[in-house]
Amino acid sequence: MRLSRIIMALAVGLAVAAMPTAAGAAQPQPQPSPSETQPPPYPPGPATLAVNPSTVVVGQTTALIGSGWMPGETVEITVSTSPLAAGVPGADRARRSNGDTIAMVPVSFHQAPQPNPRYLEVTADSEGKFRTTYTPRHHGTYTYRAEGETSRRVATATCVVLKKHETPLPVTGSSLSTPMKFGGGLVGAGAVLLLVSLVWRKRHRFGAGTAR
Amino acid sequence: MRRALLATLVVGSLLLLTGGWVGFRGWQARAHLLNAAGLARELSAQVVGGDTARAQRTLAALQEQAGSARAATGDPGWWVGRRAPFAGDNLAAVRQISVAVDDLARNAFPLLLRADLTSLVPAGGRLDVGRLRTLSAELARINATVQGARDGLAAVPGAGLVGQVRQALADLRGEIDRLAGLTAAADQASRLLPPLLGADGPRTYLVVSQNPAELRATGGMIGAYAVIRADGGRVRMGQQGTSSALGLFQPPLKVPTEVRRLWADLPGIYPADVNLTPHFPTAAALYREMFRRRTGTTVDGVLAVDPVVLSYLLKATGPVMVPGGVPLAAEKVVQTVLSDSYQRMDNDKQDAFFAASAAAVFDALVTKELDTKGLLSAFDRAVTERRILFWSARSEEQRIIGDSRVAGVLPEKDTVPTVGVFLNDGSGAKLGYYLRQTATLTVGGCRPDGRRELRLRVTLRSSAPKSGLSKSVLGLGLAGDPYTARTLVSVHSPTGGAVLTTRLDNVETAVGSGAERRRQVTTANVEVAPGESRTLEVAVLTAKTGVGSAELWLTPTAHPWTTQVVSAPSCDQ
Repeated sequence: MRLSRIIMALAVGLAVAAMPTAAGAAQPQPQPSPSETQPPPYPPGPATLAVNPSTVVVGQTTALIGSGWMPGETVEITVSTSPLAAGVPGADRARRSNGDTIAMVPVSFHQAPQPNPRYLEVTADSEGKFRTTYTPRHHGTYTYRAEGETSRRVATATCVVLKKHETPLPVTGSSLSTPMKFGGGLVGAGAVLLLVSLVWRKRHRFGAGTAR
Repeated sequence: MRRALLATLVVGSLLLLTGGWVGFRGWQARAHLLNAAGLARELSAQVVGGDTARAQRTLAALQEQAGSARAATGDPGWWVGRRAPFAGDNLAAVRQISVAVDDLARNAFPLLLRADLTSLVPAGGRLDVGRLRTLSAELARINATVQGARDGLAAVPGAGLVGQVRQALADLRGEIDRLAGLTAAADQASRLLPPLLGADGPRTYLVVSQNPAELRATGGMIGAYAVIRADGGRVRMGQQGTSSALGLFQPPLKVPTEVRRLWADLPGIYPADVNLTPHFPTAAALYREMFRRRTGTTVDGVLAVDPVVLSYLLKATGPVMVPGGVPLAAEKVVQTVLSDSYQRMDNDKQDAFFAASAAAVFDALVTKELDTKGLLSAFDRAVTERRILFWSARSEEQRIIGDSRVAGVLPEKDTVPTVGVFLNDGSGAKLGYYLRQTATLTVGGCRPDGRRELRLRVTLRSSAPKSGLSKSVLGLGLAGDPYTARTLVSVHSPTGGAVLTTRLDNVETAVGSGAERRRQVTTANVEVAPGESRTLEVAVLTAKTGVGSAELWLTPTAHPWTTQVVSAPSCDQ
């Protein structure tokens, strides 16, 4: 019963900790006072900038959809691509002998792809909504930062741009299994041939013996 | 001619003899191993039950059986047999199994029994940390032996074994994996606990309660905190307070860039928003800093729990009577704490009720004869569901906690492609209690670029009534209709992956997007009216992977999720 008493002691501690703190959960949250530079209410709201779809291949067009902006306000969208070396999903990576992974920076014209265009300006409609499109030309992660000129509100959205599919290649599986199977098969075939030849030679000798 | 025949005869009979001998020894080994397996199971039950005297006798018998099995599989005949084709693999496997069991019986179990846990029972509210340190060295040795046995068994090739041997190997692997998990955890805990409990100087922690009635990614809004002080193994409860009393922070605290892009400055402004991110270390560090700015106290770590943990504990204790109140039972406690109390009581009454309940549960845990297994499984379940989270502000300790489930660390590299589904309340209400969640993850085909497509289906249903809820439940009612729950559902792709498309009730929907810890994140707004349900269908890509399995990481909620993961064959086959 010793182990049980230790566990019990732990349980008691947790129970005591969980109970009174659960009570505080009922307290209302602070409301921002109107005098300060108005902070947003505490619950998070729906996205005011959306990229649809959130993942595309190079050359595919996505829609940038805004909502919840001031009616008629001008919204400036800045586009940036994260450097390809910084762990972009889909960027090439290599593993060093010590287990570290290093990002491979393509040395061709891809090295510093500038998004084109870099700036977009849209005007929200009377309901505070807007919609525009964008076509990424390089693979990587595109980040769109929208800022309302009147509301000074900022929203960010990202889009993953994948490389166009290469021509489908046959799935080769783990690199060693195929050559090993092939080699094993050869060895097996060799063994069978050897056995056959031995048996054949023995038979031959037996035959010679009876004839004598 | 005769010579050849004679030679064949001699070789044949030798082979037969060896075969017969190996067979006989194998049959012996099998009997010993079977006995040993039964004894090992008995032993573990006795150790957990604390029956040391009987455990000692069981151990002696186990050692004898395991030793005999090892001897039976260690003689020259067996050695020759292991070189034979086909049968050799099986004989080698049986030998490995015997060696593993014998190693455990001789090197791990005796230490485990000798480890005297009596001195660890807290006396006068104090845990003997010096004693725990000594024990820690022994646990490290036990763990090394068990991990060694586990690695030895893992090296046995499973292919080409006869059914019975393969089954035995699989069973033993399962048992030893479980044991290895336990000893690794015990080793980790015994190394961590002494400094955490103030063996090297006093420590201060924040214990925070997450409230799943108002959902946040790690479980629920942090409503309140308590300060815990630990010194030389003695733990004392200090000051208590609510998150709302900490106020809001203008200018906001510095929030990690990725989190800021997803949630703006909210986690840096409100203590109630620190855990909009599912990565617990970020949330804990922000809460700690907010607490420091308001009170001047710098704590050494943050421990988070939720009321559902309490319901698991009550399952082990049985129902508890609260003086002058309602009986508190496992099935009802979540409802009592997360729903009824908001409905029926004002803040003062709630505080009195919770204090009385805590005292009642405490009494029950101390005075009742408890079922150890029940309590253990209660803890196991709470940790598995990520309802108990801990973060240490000291990086060397946080490293030891590593990526175990208590750490709540969103890994930057998946071992198995993992899709995260995290819920954040957007209505500013306590409607999370009424949500019922379902998630299905299906692994799709292999793509030519080496990635795999996963299909995720998340359904939220609301069991909220259409009327009659109090103001403190309905809160800000930001979804328009105050009875409609607005939940922001964040889908985190596997590491290096991407989120392709999101459909809400079969219509493509606009989602917020960003990245967190090498995962693409999209956030959809799902508003569920009372009695209705809405379904989100999300297509997700993995990084380049061959495996056909996948996992879900979900926000722990007031009512458990219904989940299903449909795996597919590996792409290598």
